[in-house]
Amino acid sequence: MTVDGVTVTSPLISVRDMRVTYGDRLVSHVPELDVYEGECVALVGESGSGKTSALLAILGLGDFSGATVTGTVLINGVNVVDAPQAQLRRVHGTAITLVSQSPQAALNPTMRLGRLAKLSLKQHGVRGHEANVRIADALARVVLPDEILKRYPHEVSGGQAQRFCIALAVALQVQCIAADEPTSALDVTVQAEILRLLDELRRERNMAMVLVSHDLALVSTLADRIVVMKDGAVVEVGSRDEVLHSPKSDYTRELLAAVPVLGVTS
Amino acid sequence: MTADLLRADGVTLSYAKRAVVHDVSLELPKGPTGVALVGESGSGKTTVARALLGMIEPTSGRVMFGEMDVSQFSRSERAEYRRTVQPVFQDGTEALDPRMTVGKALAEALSVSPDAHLRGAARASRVSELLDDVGLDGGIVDRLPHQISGGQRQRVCIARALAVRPKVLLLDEPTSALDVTVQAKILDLLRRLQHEHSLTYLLITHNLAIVESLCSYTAVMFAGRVVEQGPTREVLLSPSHPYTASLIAALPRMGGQIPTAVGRADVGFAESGCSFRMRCPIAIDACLASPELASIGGRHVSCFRANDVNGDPSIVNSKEVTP
Ligand SMILES: Nc1ncnc2c1ncn2[C@@H]1O[C@H](COP(=O)(O)OP(=O)(O)OP(=O)(O)O)[C@@H](O)[C@H]1O
Ligand SMILES: Nc1ncnc2c1ncn2[C@@H]1O[C@H](COP(=O)(O)OP(=O)(O)OP(=O)(O)O)[C@@H](O)[C@H]1O
Ligand code: SF4
Ligand SMILES: [Mg+2]
Ligand SMILES: [Mg+2]
Repeated sequence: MTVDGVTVTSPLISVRDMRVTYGDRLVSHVPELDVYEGECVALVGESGSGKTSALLAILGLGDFSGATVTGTVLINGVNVVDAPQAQLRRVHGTAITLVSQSPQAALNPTMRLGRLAKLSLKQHGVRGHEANVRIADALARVVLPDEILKRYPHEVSGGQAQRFCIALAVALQVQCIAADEPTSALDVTVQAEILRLLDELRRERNMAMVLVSHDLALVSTLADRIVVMKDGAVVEVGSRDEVLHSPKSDYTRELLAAVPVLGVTS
Repeated sequence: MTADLLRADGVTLSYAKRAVVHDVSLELPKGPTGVALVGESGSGKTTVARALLGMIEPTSGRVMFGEMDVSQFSRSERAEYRRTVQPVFQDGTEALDPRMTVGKALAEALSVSPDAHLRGAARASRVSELLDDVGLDGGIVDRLPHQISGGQRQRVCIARALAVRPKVLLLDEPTSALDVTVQAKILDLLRRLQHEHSLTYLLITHNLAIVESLCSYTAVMFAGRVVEQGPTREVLLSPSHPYTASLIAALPRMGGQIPTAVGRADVGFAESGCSFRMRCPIAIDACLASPELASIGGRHVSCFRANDVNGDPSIVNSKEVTP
């Protein structure tokens, strides 16, 4: 969009006053959050502070876990909070897709990975040769051999399943990856590879990322902005440097202090 | 080594005839002590833990429980061993039955423990002792797994494992689902329990920074083999195998860049010769043969150039290909 000769990019995702409740318990409240193309926004914070709940709600998937979501989450102009199923499905294959915390549980256990990949591309209108090429490219990018397509989800390691899920997002060519602890099951050399991959996707395809992780050191290498959550509330939002070097909230300081460092036994 | 409680003796482990772990030996001494198993995703760490739990039988080699071969056990001996060696997995959500309250889950564990005979008040007091041990409030017994936090769930899993009075805990990524402040508390808890109950831990983790606080000994796996093992401080702070060195170099540092490529992880591993050969920045022709796990000082390393690495992780960043 151009206004008076200046290019104004509108955010890819725009969250306003989003509240996630289970029964009458508010577990996650995000007053305001915009995510732009090519940007990586990280949600960090306490276990149980509502990061995953917020992420699922941003994807329009809140009601799958029995949550009630209110407020607005605009993705490509669609409010996913109350969008009809058909519209939501379209958003998922093209705009945003989830890479979850427990990848093995997210994959249908009765299907070989190859069939899973094909099916998920087919749901978004990609078939045949095009589908095969995209799958092969995506596997190469996430460091998995083609042979993996013959296996069932329980026949691969946790790390391999995680990389396969990222490969699906790559093959779908989505605009934004919503990732919940995407590398916590990976050894650090593979993790570094995945981080570089995500960073490349961001640079080359301007892909955006909403990243949930409690590994602050990891987050600090990738995120442009950091949102710190505690007890369902956002306690701090800022650029990476602001949050890491001049944290405003006590809780952020506590988190930073608790990061374990190799060679320093607590 | 009769002092070992549990040990893998040159085990090869397979799924559907495909060997994924080759000739691994690992000794778990009597507690309080800890052995860490770190390494590549898919290198076979969980598979080794499954073998130590008696869930899969080695295709060759043996798992020894004290002086006894686990595969030769009678039913009652097996039950005893199953109690002694308890697993605690990464994700309390999957390990706990979602419809069972915390109290029920602990009661179930007690029913197969040496305390199975306890009834009424005695049983209730054992339950509260267990909760106390892991720093949980008694009020939690009526809650379901999804009604408590991730950190609380992991404490429940630990309490459940302790209920049967084990000697060995196999901890597979016990804190990776937890934020760093909760992780720090769980590590403190594990350290305290290790000493109070003289426990032996086998800790599987990708988080190298937590290894040292629980484990004095560390084994590093790559492609189904142990490539380096020895005292934790030596192995992690001055690695001798290029793969260990690349692990250290790939640790993300606070506020730093994305760690740079250290031998490319995307080339997989070699089927013959040194399996790390294709990723190794200092490989030489000799590496077309398979290096043995050889003893160097207080540790064991399988690398023809271990003496060149010799505690300098930056060697893996060097462009040097031949010496
Ligand atoms: N299906 C559900 N039903 C009821 N409560 C739930 C459900 N899922 C999550 N909760 C609760 O909502 C709160 C927020 O959980 P959420 O999973 O969003 O936290 P999180 O920040 O992602 O934590 P973690 O770091 O442990 O993954 C927690 O107290 C949790 O117990
Ligand atoms: N049930 C199974 N059937 C067939 N193959 C399996 C099975 N479980 C694991 N594997 C394979 O065995 C190898 C070792 O897996 P394992 O789960 O032991 O690795 P790991 O070191 O624990 O990895 P991670 O760090 O990713 O958890 C992998 O190649 C995996 O694909
Ligand atoms: S130097 Fe040779 S033997 Fe040592 S890890 Fe590299 S390739 Fe393997
Ligand atoms: Mg979560
Ligand atoms: Mg594993």
